[in-house]
Amino acid sequence: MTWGIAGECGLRWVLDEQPSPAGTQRLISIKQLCRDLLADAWIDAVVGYTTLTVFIDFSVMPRSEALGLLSPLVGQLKSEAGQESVIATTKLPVVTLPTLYHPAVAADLAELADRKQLTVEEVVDLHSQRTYFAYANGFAPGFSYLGDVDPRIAIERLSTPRRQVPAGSVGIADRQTAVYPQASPGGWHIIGRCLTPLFDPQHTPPTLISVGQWVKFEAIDIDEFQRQGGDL
Amino acid sequence: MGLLASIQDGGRFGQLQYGVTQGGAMDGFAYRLGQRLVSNPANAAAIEIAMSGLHCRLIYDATIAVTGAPVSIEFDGHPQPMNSTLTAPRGANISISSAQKGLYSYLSVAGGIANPSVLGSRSTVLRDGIGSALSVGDSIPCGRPMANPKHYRYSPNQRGSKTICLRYLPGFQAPEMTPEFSAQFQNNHYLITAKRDRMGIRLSGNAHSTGISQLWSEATCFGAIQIPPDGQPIVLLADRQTMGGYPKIGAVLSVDCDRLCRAAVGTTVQFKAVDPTEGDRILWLASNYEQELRLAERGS
Repeated sequence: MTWGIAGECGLRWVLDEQPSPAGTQRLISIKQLCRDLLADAWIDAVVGYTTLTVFIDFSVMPRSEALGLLSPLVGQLKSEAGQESVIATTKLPVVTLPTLYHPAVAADLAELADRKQLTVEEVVDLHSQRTYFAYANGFAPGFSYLGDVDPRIAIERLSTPRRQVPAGSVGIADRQTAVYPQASPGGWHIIGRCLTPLFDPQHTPPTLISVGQWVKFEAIDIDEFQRQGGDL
Repeated sequence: MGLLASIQDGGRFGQLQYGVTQGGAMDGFAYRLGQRLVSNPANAAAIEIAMSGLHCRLIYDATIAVTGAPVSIEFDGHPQPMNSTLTAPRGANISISSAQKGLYSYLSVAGGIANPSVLGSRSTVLRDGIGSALSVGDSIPCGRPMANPKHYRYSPNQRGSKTICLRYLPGFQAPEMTPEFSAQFQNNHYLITAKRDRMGIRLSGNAHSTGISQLWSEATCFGAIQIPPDGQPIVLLADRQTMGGYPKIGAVLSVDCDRLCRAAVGTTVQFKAVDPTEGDRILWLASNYEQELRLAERGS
C-alpha cells in the first residue's frame, strides 16, 4: 500500500492489489483509525475499489502534523497483518433487495439473455443467486457498486448512455451490479427494478447500504411488485 | 442546466462517503464577500445567479448585497451599486440583470436564505435531487437579520485577463503518466470551452495521451484535473460526481478555481504545478488576505 496527494485537503491510500473484500476491509480499518486520529480535522473519507481518500481540514491540523500521525498507519496494518483484530470485519446484516425482473421494467433483460445465449430465467437466477459485496458508494447519493457478477452475465456498458433511467433500475456493467437510487443518466444494462429506498437524507447514515456490506437480490413477481407500490 | 438561479452556501461537507456531492457557491470569494457585506455568519445561504438575471419583490424590509459577475441592479427602476450594503423597503421590486461578463453573481440577504438544511447545508444540487432551481412565483424564506447591520462597500480590484494561470498540486497518478504528457501539460495553452456547468469546466487544447487507461473508480476532489481518453482536461468543481475512473494529473487550488469560474469562454488557461508546502502557503495567504480585507464603512 502507498499513499499520496489528492488535492489541497486530501490524502489517498492505494492498495497495490486487485479489488477484494479483504482489501476493502483494510481500507475501512484505515478510515476508522484516521477518523480517531484526526478528530476535529476530519472532514470526510471515501472508500474506492482500491483506494481510500481522506479529506482533512489542514487549518485545524497542519499538514506536517497530520502526515506524522497518519503515515505510520500503513506499516501498522502491515506488521499486524493476519491478526483479525486490526482488520474490521463487517457485522452489518445482509441487505435484501426485492427485485422485479420483467421486460416491462427492464429494457435490456431480453437482449442480455439473447446475447449471452441464456433464457431470461437463467439470467435472473444467475443474478439473484449470488450475494454481492459493496465495494464503494458514489456516483450519486445511495448508489453502491456491488460485485462480483457471474461472468456468464457480465456485459460491457451501453455504447451510448441513456439520458434517463428510472429510479430503482437494477443494472449490470462488466462484473458490477447496482441500483440507481434516483432517476439519472445511465450507461449500464438494465435488468430489473427494485423499489427499496436506498437514500434518505433524514436517516443516519443516509444510505441503506454501507461499504463492506453484503447484498442479495430477491426475485419477486408482478403481484408483489404492485403490492409494494410499483407501476408497470 | 447551467443557466439558473439556485440557493447556495459554503457547501455540503462530510457526505462524499455517501455519494452526496459538495455543492456550494461556485465563486467562493464573491459569495463570502456578499455575506460580509450584509453582516451574515460565514456560511449563510445566498442566491447564486448564473447569467439568467433575477427579478423579485420584497415582502419585508431587507438589507441585501450583490457580488460576483458584473450585473446592473435596480430598485423600482433606480440603479444601485454592486459590492455594497443596500437597504430596500418592503414592496420594492429588485431587478438584477444578466451578467455582462463572467458567470456567477450572488444576491445575499441579511439573515440569510432560510430554506431547509439537508445534510448540513442549504445548497441546491439538482443532480442529487436536493433542493430545486428557483422558478417564477417561488417565495423565498429569509432568516432574521441582525438589528442594525453596518453598511459597507468594497471596490474590486479585478482585471479581466485573456490568460489565467492555474496552480495545481500534482496528484497520485501524475508520475505514472507518459513523460510526453507530463512535459506538455504545463507548456500547453488550453481554452475554456462553453461546456461548463456546476459539475466542471471542459478545456480544449493539444491532446496528448496520459498512457493510463481507466482506473478503478475512486474519489474525486475539488479542482481535480481529469484527463479522459480524448486528452482534453476537465476541471471538476462543486457539483462533480463523487467518484470517477479517469486519471487525474492533480487538483487546481481552490483560490484558482474561483478565478477559473469567473473567466469567460475562450480565455487561455495555463497550468503550473506547485508542491504541497507552496500550495498551503498560497491558500494561507489568500485566506489571510480575505480576512483582512478592509471594507469601507458607509453612513447608512
